[in-house]
Formats: sequence, C-alpha cells, structure tokens
Amino acid sequence: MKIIKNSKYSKYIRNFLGYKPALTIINSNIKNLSTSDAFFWRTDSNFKTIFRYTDIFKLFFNDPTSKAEIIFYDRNSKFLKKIIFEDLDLSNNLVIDKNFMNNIEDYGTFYIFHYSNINNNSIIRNSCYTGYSQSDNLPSFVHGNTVTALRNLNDNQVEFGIGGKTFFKNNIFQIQNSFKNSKVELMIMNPTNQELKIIINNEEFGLGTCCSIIKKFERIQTIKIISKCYLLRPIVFSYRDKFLDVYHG
Amino acid sequence: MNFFFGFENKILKSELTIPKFNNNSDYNDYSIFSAKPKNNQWLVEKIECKEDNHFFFIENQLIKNDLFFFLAHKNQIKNEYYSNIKDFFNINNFTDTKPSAFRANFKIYIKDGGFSSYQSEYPHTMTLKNGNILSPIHSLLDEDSDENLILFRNIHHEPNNKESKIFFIDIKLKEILAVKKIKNNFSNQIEVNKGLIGKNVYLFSEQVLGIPLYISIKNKHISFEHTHPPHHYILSENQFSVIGKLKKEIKEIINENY
Repeated sequence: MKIIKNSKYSKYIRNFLGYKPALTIINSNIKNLSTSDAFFWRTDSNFKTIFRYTDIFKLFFNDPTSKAEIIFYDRNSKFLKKIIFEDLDLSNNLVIDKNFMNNIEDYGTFYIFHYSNINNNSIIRNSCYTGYSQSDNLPSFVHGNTVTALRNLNDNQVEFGIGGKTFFKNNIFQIQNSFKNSKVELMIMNPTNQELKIIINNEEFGLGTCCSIIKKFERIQTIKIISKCYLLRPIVFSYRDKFLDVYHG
Repeated sequence: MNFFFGFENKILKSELTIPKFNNNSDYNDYSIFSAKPKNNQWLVEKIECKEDNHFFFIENQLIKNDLFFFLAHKNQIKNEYYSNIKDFFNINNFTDTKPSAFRANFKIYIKDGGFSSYQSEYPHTMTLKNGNILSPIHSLLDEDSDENLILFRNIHHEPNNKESKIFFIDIKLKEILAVKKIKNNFSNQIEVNKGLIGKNVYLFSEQVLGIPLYISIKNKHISFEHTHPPHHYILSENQFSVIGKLKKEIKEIINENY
C-alpha cells in the first residue's frame, strides 16, 4: 500500500482528481535521490547573485565523500554550464557575476545536486539561499522556493519539471503583500514538465517547462497569479530609491 | 492559526502588512488583535490600525517586542482564554491554508535608509511545543557588513517570559563559541560579532522553539531572511532519525563543554 502511495502515478492521480494534491511528483520509493529547488541567477542591470549552500551529506550523514554539482540554464532553459565542487565546507559560497557567466548579462535558473560514493539511503533537498546584489551593494537574501528537479543517485539520471499541477482547474496564488508604493519585478519559473499558461492581473502569457521570466509592475496594489501549477510562487524584487528588497511571494 | 510579530531596536523599525485574504483570494472580515503576557495571563487588545479593502497596516508605533498579532472576531475572544491559553491560541482556522501558508509581510527598515522583508507567520502548532532549533550562521550573515544580528522570536502558549539559552557551536571543532540568553514570548535581539560567522558554526536553542531571522546591515542597506529548519533538507521517512542523531551529537557537545 505504501509503495503505491509513494509512487509517481499515485501522485499524478491525486493531482488529476484534485484530492490531497502533491506539490512535487517524486517516486518516494527510490531512497537515493538528490532534489533541487530552481534558483534564479541574474547578471542583468548590474546584478550579481550570491549562492550559499550546505553540504547536506556531510552535515547530516558525516559523509566525507560528498560533492556538489551546480548546473546553469538560461531563461529559455537552454544548458549553459555545469561545475562540480569537491572538498566542501559545511556552508559554501559561490559568486555568480557577469564574468562567471562568460560575459552573459541576463537571467536564468540553476540547480544543485549532491552526490557521494556512499549510499545514504535518503531523499535530500537542497533549498539553499540566494542573495541579489545590485551595484555591489549588500546582497538581499532569500531562501529556495520550489523543488523542481531531481537526480537519481543510483543511475545519475536527472529529471526536471517535477512540480505538481492540476489537469483542468486553475489555481490562484495571490501574493499576500501590498505593492501600492513599490516598483516590483517578479521572477517566475515554470516548475512543471509542460508549458504553462499564466495570467497575472489579466495579462496572459505562456512559459515553457523550466523557463523563467521577469515581469515588471508599478503602482498596483495586489498581484494575483493564475495557472495550473499548484505553487507558482515568484521571487519578488522590490525597489525604492537606491534600495532593494528581495523575498519569495 | 497563524500569528504575526514585529521587531524594534534603536536603529531598526518594522511594519506588518497583514492581508484580509488568503493565497486563494478568499476574503474575511476579521479584526486585528494583539496579545502579550502580563502577570501570568494574556493581555489581549483590539488594535486600531490603518486598513484598506485588502490589508491591515500595522505601523512601527504599534509594534513592541513583547507583542504578537492575530486575526479574529471580537466575540471569539472569550474571558476564559486569558488563562486557558491553549484554546485561546486556536480561535479560528482562516489562516490554516495549504499548500502555501497564510503569511503577512514583515518589513524592517532604517529611517532614510534601506528596507528588507519576508513573508512571515508563526504557526499555532509551534506555540505548543519545546524543542531545539538548529540553524546555520554563515548562510545569511555577512562578515563584511557593518552590523549582523539574529532576531530570535518565540511565541509560547504559557503567558510568561521564561529564559533559555542559545548556543553558537562550531560543529566541526565541537566547540561552544558563545552562549546568549533569550526569553519566551519576545522578539530577542542577538548581536553577532564577525568571529561567530564561520562556515561550520550553527545556532542551537536549548528546549525552546522559535524562528531565527538573520539581519545584516551595510551602508544602510539591509538583508533580512530566515533559515530553513533541518527537516526541510531530508524528505525521506528517515528524516526524524537523521536529524535526531545530529541534534543528539550537538547536545553532547553542550553537555561536555558547558
């Protein structure tokens, strides 16, 4: 019974019926998975992104063989680069600026997967912290937001777009903050495995699987996001004068 | 039911924007109340604050470090709740939402300077328990900042300001680097010197739950965010045994060195 409940197909059926929907479609019967949130990088508009992540295998399993792989994609989910980090500290820091991104001044997504020579028999998630610094000012940090990809550590296969979605009914996500006095940008990525039709305050657009987009708003009070994704929660960039605040919606 | 809180010190002010709607865009007609412990009872008051059709705006002059706020109807605040506090804490379920929690925007700011916020809530379930918070120091603080603070907020169902301890521990060296006192039902400010912002340093609370919020300030710019609890990192069924083992090892460091 538990095997059926933990399977991907059970979660697809729950989402199809709208009964106890699953936010992520993971086969929890596999006990050696590294899952990752989708993180935003941005190097446009004089931004750099500071990424801080924990060596989960070392912290929780005292595993000295752990490594981390970080994979970067552009806003259209096209592969850009990947880096493997060894000899990790418990907490680690990566600066993603224009130079690091081979002179690209744009934005996109990245993922972190951990792996190890030891089978730790667990499903781990790295939800990390990204800080956004504009014009070399203090970065404003925000924690990870939505599990979007996984690596099966048994066969090294990576699966993207594991975010849960409804099949017929639209979901509403109204951000619980007032934007009346703010100039804001919403960074949105599609965590599901299909193109999403997204409506934000009556503006409709499509977003491909694992693609990202920045939408700008000014002098509106509320922001309502409608899509078939169960949790389409944006990262909010809020500006006032020379100051910046970044948080998840 | 979720609660909301703010913070103030000599430099930082705060404000709360509490929505009248949940994430699914369902609205309510609740009012805002505050509560704080006084003489081993809860002092509960209706708050008069700015509001519009969508939000309550609790500005800095209404925010105190010993107060928290919640949504309710006046007739839901019964006299017996002032002493029978466990029930008091579960007055209505409007803020019990899934998949996304009901949150308010908690913003801190410097006058004529920067601001930073996060979508904040303190769940009722956390007020009923004691436990240990384990949180990394390095992830959200900045050695190059002018100032680094941790705001540790506890809300506990018993109306008192019982004291407990927060330890700064180097997990790799198995050393206690600092010990700070905090109190229940309070937004506690912990100043963090640069020597404590190490890659192996973790905050560990002694038999008290709470939300650790990390604040860095540099040239009047601010960063303000909370860390994830450890169970966020392990999704498999062994999460409690794995995390329990790590916390046990940390408790042993404390028992051997303090």
